[in-house]
Amino acid sequence: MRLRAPWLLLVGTLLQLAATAAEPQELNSKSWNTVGARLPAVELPRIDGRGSVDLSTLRGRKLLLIHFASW
Amino acid sequence: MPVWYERVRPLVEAGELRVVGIVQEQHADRALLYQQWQELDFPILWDPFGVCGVTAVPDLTGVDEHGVIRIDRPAPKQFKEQFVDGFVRQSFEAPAEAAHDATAFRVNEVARLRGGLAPAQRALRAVARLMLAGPGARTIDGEVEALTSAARSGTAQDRFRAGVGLRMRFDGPQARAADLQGSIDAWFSALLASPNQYIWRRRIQQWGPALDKPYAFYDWVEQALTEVSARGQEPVELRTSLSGAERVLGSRSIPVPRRGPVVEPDPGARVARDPGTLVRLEHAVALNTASAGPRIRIPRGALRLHVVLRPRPGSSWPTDAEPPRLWLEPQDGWIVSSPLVTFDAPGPGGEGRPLMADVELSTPLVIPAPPDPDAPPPSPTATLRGYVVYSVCEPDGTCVFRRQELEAVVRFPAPPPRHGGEPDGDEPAGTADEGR
Repeated sequence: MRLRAPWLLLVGTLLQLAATAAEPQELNSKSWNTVGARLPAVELPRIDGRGSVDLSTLRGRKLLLIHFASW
Repeated sequence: MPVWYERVRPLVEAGELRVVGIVQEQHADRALLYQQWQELDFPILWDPFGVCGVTAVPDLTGVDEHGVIRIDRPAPKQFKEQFVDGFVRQSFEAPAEAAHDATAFRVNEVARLRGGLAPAQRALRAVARLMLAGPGARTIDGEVEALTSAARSGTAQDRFRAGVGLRMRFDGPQARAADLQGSIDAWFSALLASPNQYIWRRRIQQWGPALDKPYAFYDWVEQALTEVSARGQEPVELRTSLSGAERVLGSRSIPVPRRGPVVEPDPGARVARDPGTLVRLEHAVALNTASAGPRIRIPRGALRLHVVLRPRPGSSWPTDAEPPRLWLEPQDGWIVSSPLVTFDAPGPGGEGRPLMADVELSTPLVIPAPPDPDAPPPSPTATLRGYVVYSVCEPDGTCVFRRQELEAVVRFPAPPPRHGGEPDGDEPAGTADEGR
């Protein structure tokens, strides 16, 4: 019993760290417009319902990213 | 946007370039219809809550093969030199140090966040879950509550996102009477704090008065439906009806009252009242966004009144009767193009759906700035009155003609102080229409 409590504490701490490691950050226009910066790691759903696209996986070819609206 | 895609299409077909679009619209299905109509064969992602943080569209970014931004807002006139030769056909070295990608927003990851979350994290999780679920039957009350509670003490962005959530609920089967006005108010509140956020401004203008529109937002839909059908394809079905405000062209003049006789439907108030047991009457007012920003424009009193008739469970619209009608009795000084407005017909299979109508009202009301810039500015109100009449069928199948009174209180936001206010330094590129 004496050993279990520290282990549980460690597991709990690791789980908490894992949760905070993935904490998302707020973006702004500069995130997309700063030449020389990395493209933000963003995954969004497709409008056609066919899953989502993670922009950070689109490496190996030039990418043109277009923010727009149909209006 | 299609112009850009036409130009880069040969590069895409040659395998030299990939294109991804991100739309900043409330309704994904409208963007999907646009994609089908324009035959845009690249993936388009949906960002209704503005997690990307862009402030204006269109906004184009060129990214190299290593994930590094190399070109921002390429100039169409220098397409060959700047975009093709200087970017697409240019070799870029990998960054010397493999920079760590900050986790900005991964929708599936965020939707699965667990544990004791802070209000801001709960709100972000709600954003992710709503984006993945889209409008539908699943209850979204928990997500909307997370967004609205974060907005109460949060940032302008939190308030904008709360508005998006409320509007999503309004479009679904769990709509509450205050959702439509709540969404517009939340967006307005966000815009007051950040007047250069043109995505937020457009979201209000979409449902706002013609006097405040930079362009018609969805006037292309009819043409798209016709042309897609003519190609032998089944057009994408739109889940939410387009309001008049979304189809109307922008205007720079106060609407002129329509000439000709108009017959009031129930001048003697003799039609039996529905106390709201058969149909729920909802209304919302979208103000001119000129009220939100440091530049006060006149007339600030232009607005769009939206009225929704939502059958209660068991009630239904008869499909063979005249559609419902709205009669407005504007106060002195208010101008309405016509006091009589006819709702959309329910249409086949639409016996239980909410019916909507919207109308433009204007007043030359001028809200004076206080003489002392530090004094609290006035926040005037106006009341719009009228009534609706409609045929509706009761749960036992008996169809009756009923009336409900309408009273909409319009609260104009107080003008912002002459000096100070929340800074908003992120001036977007696409602000050519800012000074309208």
